[in-house]
Amino acid sequence: MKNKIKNFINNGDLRKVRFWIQLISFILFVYGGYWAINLGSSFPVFACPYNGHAGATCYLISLQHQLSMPAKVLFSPAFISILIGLVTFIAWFMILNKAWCGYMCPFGTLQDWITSLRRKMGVRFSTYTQRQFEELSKIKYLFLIIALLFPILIGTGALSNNWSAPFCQMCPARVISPMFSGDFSQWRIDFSSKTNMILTALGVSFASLFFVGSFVKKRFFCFFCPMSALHYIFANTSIVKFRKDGNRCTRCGDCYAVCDMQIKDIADDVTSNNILRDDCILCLKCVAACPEDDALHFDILNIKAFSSTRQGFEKRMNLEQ
Amino acid sequence: MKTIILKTILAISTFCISVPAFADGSMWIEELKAKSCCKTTETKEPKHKEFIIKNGDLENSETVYDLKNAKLYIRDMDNQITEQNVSGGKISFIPAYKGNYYLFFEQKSVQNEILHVTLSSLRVYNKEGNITKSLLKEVRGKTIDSKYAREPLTQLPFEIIMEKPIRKHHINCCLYSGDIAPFKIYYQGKLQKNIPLKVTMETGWVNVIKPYDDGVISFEIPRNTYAKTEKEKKYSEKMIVEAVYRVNESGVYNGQAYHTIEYTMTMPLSFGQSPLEYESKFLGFATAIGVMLVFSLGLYYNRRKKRKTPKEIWFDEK
Repeated sequence: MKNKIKNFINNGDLRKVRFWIQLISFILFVYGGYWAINLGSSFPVFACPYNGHAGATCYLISLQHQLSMPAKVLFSPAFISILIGLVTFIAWFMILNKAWCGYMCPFGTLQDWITSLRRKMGVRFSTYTQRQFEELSKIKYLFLIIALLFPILIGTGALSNNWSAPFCQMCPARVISPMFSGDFSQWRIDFSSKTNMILTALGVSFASLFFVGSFVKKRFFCFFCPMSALHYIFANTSIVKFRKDGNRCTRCGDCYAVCDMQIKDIADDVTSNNILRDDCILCLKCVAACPEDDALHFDILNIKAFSSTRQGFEKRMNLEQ
Repeated sequence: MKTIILKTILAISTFCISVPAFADGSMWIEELKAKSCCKTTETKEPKHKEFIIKNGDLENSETVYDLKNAKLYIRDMDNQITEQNVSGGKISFIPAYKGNYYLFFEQKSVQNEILHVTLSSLRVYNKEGNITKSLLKEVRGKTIDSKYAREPLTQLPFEIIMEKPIRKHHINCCLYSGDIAPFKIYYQGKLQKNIPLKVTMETGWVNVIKPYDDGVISFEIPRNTYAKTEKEKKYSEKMIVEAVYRVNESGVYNGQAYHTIEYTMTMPLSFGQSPLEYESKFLGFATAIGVMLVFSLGLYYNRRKKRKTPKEIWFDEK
């Protein structure tokens, strides 16, 4: 019985499973408010509160607001409220690790749907060179620093309140998410101050880049996502692990070829047991594409929940043919 | 000639009927905010919130120091009501949790055989709660609680309640010029459909608005044409909404007889300049189209140079 379940999972059609999970979570996070669903304000995905009907709220906006408290308040018992938010975020994050990006994030799902559209239109996709990849991957840490440091500077009085939630003002999700409930009001430039003008103009520009970029490059924005960087900081706390058995790896490169995030280590690194990298979205396409038994496996509480198998690989090949 | 006289009589009579007996000055509750220079050092104890009662109009008002026969009702986010007697010039209370608190002030006095019941309500948002007292409420206070269309307070005989405003912009938190602010007036918990509302702005704009058939009184918050917005475009302005209701009822209050009760309720509100005044959607869309065009053309020429198709695999791409 146990083996039957295991085979069923390992040989299953990952794409269908992923599609349905992504669709359900997209509806939950984008339209949840219509059914009075409110999962709180510490969610590890880009569920944007600028969309008035979101079923949950991205943690980055609450974190930025909390950090912008006056320094005296920030370093007082009120700091506990920030800790509560952080603990809630980690608690949610622990359940799925970076699979929040690959399966649950509505913004990631949107990028996958744009990719599907491109494929249907027969337009070829683009890739980064390794050097470009390495350089661009650093941008998300820069955004994370902006999201964390600037609000603290507001609290100390070094920056004006115009810098409040600086990443959100630049974030393409702020502009795009409300569109799904018919609100196009975020496609605006705020001329109330120079800072607001620059930040909102950047937001609109990034949103435009998002559409063009996602059309030719898979998961275009995920390379720059500060939430992904924040995830990686807490990746080791999760009950979910992504592991590789280097002895079973033949370095065929199939896993690298299917990787939306172009993570080279997935194919090259045969020494690390923990193969989760900061850009990984835990979509598990690499596990599904790996022809070696147990070379790659997705573990929940150290139990192999989804492993690469020869049988599964062949089955998926036949399915496609 | 006859027509003119008739019209004049009609106009005068209409005016006399429609204009309610609004008092010359209003009385409202106002939060006393410590100046940045004089803020005390942070302590672990929860902070007192202090309020004063103002009398007059928004331009020229004075603080009322004699608050005898006054009561304060505080409704917290759990709809629990605490009653507090008021004396002296200041009102203070300690909000335990983070979230919205509603303050209702009531004062009674008899003058010229009329019992004046002066009422005022104010919503206060408490940013800092007592975290050690309740962790759950600290988290919950951020997400739950609607500040509009709340149930009338049973302790108050007469109340103005604000409904959710209708907005033309994207900001949901506060009031802005151009928003349509709807109100309802309740007497003894029942909706009143014939009591007008007086609206007074800080700039001097005053209007008396009659309710619609369903009892809703709504008006568009006027734009301040004279605000100096060269330096600061996001200014804030105050307004007061006020309703008066008279009931022919006799009785004795504090040994003084009265034959009429006059209820006066005020609600101070503040609003900002509409975001539509300093935001441009047209330029937003123009920027978006410009960026898309430039980026798309760049990509197109870049991809034309690289004719070689990247390695593709069966699994995801054809």
